[in-house]
Amino acid sequence: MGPVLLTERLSRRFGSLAAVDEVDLALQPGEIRGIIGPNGAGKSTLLRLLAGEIRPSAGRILYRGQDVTGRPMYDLARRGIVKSFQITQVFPNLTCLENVRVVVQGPGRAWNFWQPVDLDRSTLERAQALLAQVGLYGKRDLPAHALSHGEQRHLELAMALATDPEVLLLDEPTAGMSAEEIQSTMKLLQEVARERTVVIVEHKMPVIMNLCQRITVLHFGRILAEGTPEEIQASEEVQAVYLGRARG
Amino acid sequence: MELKVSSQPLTARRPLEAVFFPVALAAFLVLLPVVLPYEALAAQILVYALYGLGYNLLFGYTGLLSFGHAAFFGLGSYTAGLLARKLTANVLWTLPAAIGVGAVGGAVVGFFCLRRRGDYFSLMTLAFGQLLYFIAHQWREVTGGDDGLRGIPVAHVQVGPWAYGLESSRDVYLLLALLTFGAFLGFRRLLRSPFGTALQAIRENELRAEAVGYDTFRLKLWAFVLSAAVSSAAGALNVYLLKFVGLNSLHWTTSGYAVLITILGGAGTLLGPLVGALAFVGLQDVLSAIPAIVDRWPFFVGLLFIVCVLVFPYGIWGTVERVQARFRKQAPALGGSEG
Repeated sequence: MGPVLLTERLSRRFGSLAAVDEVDLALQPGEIRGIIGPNGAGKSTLLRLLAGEIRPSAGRILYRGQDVTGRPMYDLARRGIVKSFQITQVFPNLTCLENVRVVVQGPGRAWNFWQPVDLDRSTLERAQALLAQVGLYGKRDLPAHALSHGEQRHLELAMALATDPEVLLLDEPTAGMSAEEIQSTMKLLQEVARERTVVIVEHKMPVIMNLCQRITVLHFGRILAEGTPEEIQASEEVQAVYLGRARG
Repeated sequence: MELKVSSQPLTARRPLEAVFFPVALAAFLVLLPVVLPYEALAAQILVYALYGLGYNLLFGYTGLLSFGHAAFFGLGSYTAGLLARKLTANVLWTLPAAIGVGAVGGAVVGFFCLRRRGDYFSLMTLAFGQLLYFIAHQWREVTGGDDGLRGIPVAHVQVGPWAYGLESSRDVYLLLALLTFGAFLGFRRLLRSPFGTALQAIRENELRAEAVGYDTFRLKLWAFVLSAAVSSAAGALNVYLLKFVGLNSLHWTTSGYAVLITILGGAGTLLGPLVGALAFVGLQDVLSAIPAIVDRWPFFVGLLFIVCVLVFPYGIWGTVERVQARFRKQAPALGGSEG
């Protein structure tokens, strides 16, 4: 079996700036890939391209061998590529259970105008199970805006999982979390990644080094290095980039 | 404008409510014309309640602020009026026709306006509303221009040889009460459906809804179409009541009424528009009967609106629901767990 997600010379320009510049990426099924790089290296833009949130200026994206370049985000989500955002995105006035249930019930079924979703037992049970998985079952009837930041991120993860994605794209999943929250999130991510391909953009090195099998380093929109955590840590080129950033 | 919605669960269901709600609504609709001084007033309230119901679907539940809903109210009015004058005054033809024209109008206007978000969306709906107003204003041969459409025959319901003329305000009220009852029950059901919950998800966070697989543009377009169709039906019903189509049915102030009624009653609450229409039409009636005020009633309604938004940002019914929820101490309201 070939790569589940493949990019060919994927590029995105903002005016004269090449935020992502001819990136070739091949994700194997089941791998956890970390993407690191200094601020402005194009990590988030790359993730947005993969999710279909923005369109590439050039290049192609192949998902399971099929060209999905330029497809809208909702379409990719239904096919199995789902993104979680750098800035937490939940449905603030809905309860935790409703947040997850509105995903579990299936966006493809949205043209049903009549059947009450709250009576659908299997939908409810799956939503409850997902909340339990991320440790929010006890708060299922609280509105999402009442949760702490870390809990909202977990809720978001439950919503992403509710789509049963094949590829999960995570933009700084531990941003703004406390040390304990980071620990529980990492455990959760390891669990989640057993059945799917995960791409993580992250600033926290310990998180990336512990979770990922392979790491891609971006610098000015281009791939600077790619390899195992050990290889990346040993790379002088990568160190130069990071030290350069620290100095400047 | 920031949308304030009372954060009630999507599907607050208590066992009794399934029976209680229709019974209470029916009782309200029976009592309304008895309590009020004249039936035309009760009928006018229901016209605006339906108009608000349609508007609320878009504003209160999908989070889209339209400033141009007079376009659809007016389309419904002119459709019913023109048909009655030229072809048939049978409600069984004119009402579906008005709904159809409103839906098509909504599809066209929605298709263009939904390409923009936020204030730009709102202003584009306003522009379309004004466009229709000036078309009606200029196209005198068809619309009567400033004079509107006069001499509209009495609407009637005819099935085969059986016919019933809606002569009095009481007859029109009867029709309105039946439709209002059906519309609110249907709407209540819609809000619990996959479609209804998807709209509320879009209202809460459109990016998030799209990221989990919702085709938000199409969903918003359908919300727009439905909303326009209901508003158009309200416009037609208004013609049965008044036996006249005024150019003001397309005026931007009519768009404003929808916003006012919905926010006054409580955007994003099922009964908000009904309560809002009651307050709005009732107040207008009381104020315009005071000799010192008469035509200046909008000033006082505006004043009340400002006070209401400042003191009760969730509207009258929205506030009631929030107080209720506090009394229940946020008890688990999701009925799903009981099956």
